[in-house]
Amino acid sequence: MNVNRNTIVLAAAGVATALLFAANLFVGSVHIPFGQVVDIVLGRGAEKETWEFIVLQTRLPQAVTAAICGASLATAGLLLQTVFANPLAGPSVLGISSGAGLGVALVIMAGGALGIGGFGAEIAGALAGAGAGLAAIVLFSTRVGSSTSLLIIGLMLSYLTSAAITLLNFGASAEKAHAFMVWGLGNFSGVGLQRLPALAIPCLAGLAVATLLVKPLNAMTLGTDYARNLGINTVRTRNLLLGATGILTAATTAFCGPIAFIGLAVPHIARLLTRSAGHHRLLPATMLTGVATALLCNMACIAPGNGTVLPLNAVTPVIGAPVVIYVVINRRRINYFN
Amino acid sequence: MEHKLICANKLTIGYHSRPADRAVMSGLNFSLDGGQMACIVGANGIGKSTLLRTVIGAQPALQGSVRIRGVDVGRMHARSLSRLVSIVLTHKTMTGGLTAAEVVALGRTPHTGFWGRLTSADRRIVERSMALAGIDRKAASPMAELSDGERQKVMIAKALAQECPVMILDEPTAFLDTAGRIETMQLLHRLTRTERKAIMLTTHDVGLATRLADRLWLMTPGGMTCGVPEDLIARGALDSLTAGTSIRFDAASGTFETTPDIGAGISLHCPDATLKRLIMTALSRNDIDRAGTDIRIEAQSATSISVLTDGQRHQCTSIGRMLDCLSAQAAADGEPEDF
Repeated sequence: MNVNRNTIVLAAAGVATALLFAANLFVGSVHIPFGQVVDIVLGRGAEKETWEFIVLQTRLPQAVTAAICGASLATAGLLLQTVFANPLAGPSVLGISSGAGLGVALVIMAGGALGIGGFGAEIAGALAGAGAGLAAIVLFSTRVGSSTSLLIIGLMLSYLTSAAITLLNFGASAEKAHAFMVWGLGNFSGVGLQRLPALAIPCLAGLAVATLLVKPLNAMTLGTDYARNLGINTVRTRNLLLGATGILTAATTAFCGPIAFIGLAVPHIARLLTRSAGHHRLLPATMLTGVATALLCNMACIAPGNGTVLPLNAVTPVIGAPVVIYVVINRRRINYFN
Repeated sequence: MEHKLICANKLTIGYHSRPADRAVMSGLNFSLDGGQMACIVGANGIGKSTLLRTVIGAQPALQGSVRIRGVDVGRMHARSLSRLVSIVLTHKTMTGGLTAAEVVALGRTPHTGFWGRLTSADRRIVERSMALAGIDRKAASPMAELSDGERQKVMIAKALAQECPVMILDEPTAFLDTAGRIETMQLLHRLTRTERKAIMLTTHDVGLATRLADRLWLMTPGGMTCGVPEDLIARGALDSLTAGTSIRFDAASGTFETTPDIGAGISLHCPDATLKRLIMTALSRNDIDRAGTDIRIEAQSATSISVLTDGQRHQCTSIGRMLDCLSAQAAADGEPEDF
């Protein structure tokens, strides 16, 4: 009965995700007739060349970017919540995304003096910053046994990097401060077709690692001591999980900015859907739900319909925060973390 | 000695630290065979959990070694150890979203392949483990909906599903109610007999332990004393757990008792030992000090107790009435001085 329910849930999520993906191609800040989009997708061309360009060069890579980032951030959140046995763990709390933020801030606000700039440099800065944040947390994880302590250290690292960013902001020109602010708003549209592989390859690698670790992840739900007693190499598992999380977060943050709430909220939505904490079901459900959520947020950004595009980080909390509040309020009834 | 399932020789347990290692206890010798249950008792902080952690290989021995089937635990890979020793710990797990059967199935982890898929043989072992632990009726319930006692049974079933000859439990009765404590200990005792498990556990339930353990390992600041519980009781060894207090282990009742102090000036006469003990406990608790008077209590039965003082006889129909009578007299005696 459980298997049936699980199959139905996954199938429904799959169909919803496919529909959302298609919808992302049909909706945008520029109005393109429905039939024309169908023609373009089927390779029959369109009345206007610009429409073809918009669908194939803008909307398609943007939808693919949203899908990859959604799956990546949601999976990163799930891995962290399992490793730290904490429902409020997410990619933005371990100092990884704030490390990326610091890297980008350095490039935007201090890079000019060194002749560094541009989108490529921002990505390099984000990757370097995320890498440094990850290295710091891995270094601490070899010295600190408890996952909760590590979570607190991650939070403190985030505060330290925010302090550095604030300082950079304070000294920067209004124009540069604005540029950094815009990066911080989050955006699925900046990647484009050419750079898509650079985002997709590390993300798919991270997702593959997560998938390969399903068995140790299940054992880890019992806690480190039980997992070790079940023959799991807990140190290696934790390092691999943190590494995968770091890659997933660094890549998405580098290309799309620090996207809030998807990593934190989506695993909870997946748990509510599958009604299970078993990773055989939870991991695929989390990936699919992550894709769907990101695509939904991407569409919601153009909701005003008058050509205005809302910042992504203005939309994700609207979907994410109520989920987290719902879960916290109903914790006694839902209870998958006690 | 070497034929025993578990044995330790001149073992020192403790923590590696700088500048010098911190030994918690040294010179430990013990052994345990299949079909036996050893209960480790001792004060908080004496090193019971450190000992267990050393036996399960979670912490290295500072000196000496623990051997299971002749192999040093400290030199064993987690994978090999996972087929020899299964554990049940006190701390809560975040398994609320898993069903009881899914948690028990995690016990099969050392035996399943890369993806952790269960074969039909695995499923049979999971079902049998749940039946042995008496939790099979809750197989489909999420952990979040189970009581503490039921969760404990699930974790014991998980340990059984692991199919290890040795089971180690850290305070398995800690969060349970009275019925749960007795049930859990009886279950563990049964598993030593039917499944020939070697079970090692820590507990503060010394009374239960003396009744159900095959071996009692008594940890005191002076070291660890091992033996059959009755031998330790007969030698008065259990009193070392309460050294420095007026609490003593009472062999007859199997519990720790304070020596009842019935109060000065009172004499108690009762032919029934049980009733006498009850009245003594009641008097002791109420701190009735009637020094300078001469009160004689004669108890024929629980409903017929006489209090004799100054030639007067008060007949009481319960121990409660007897206490009321005594305190009324104490108040009456005190009155003249107040006015």
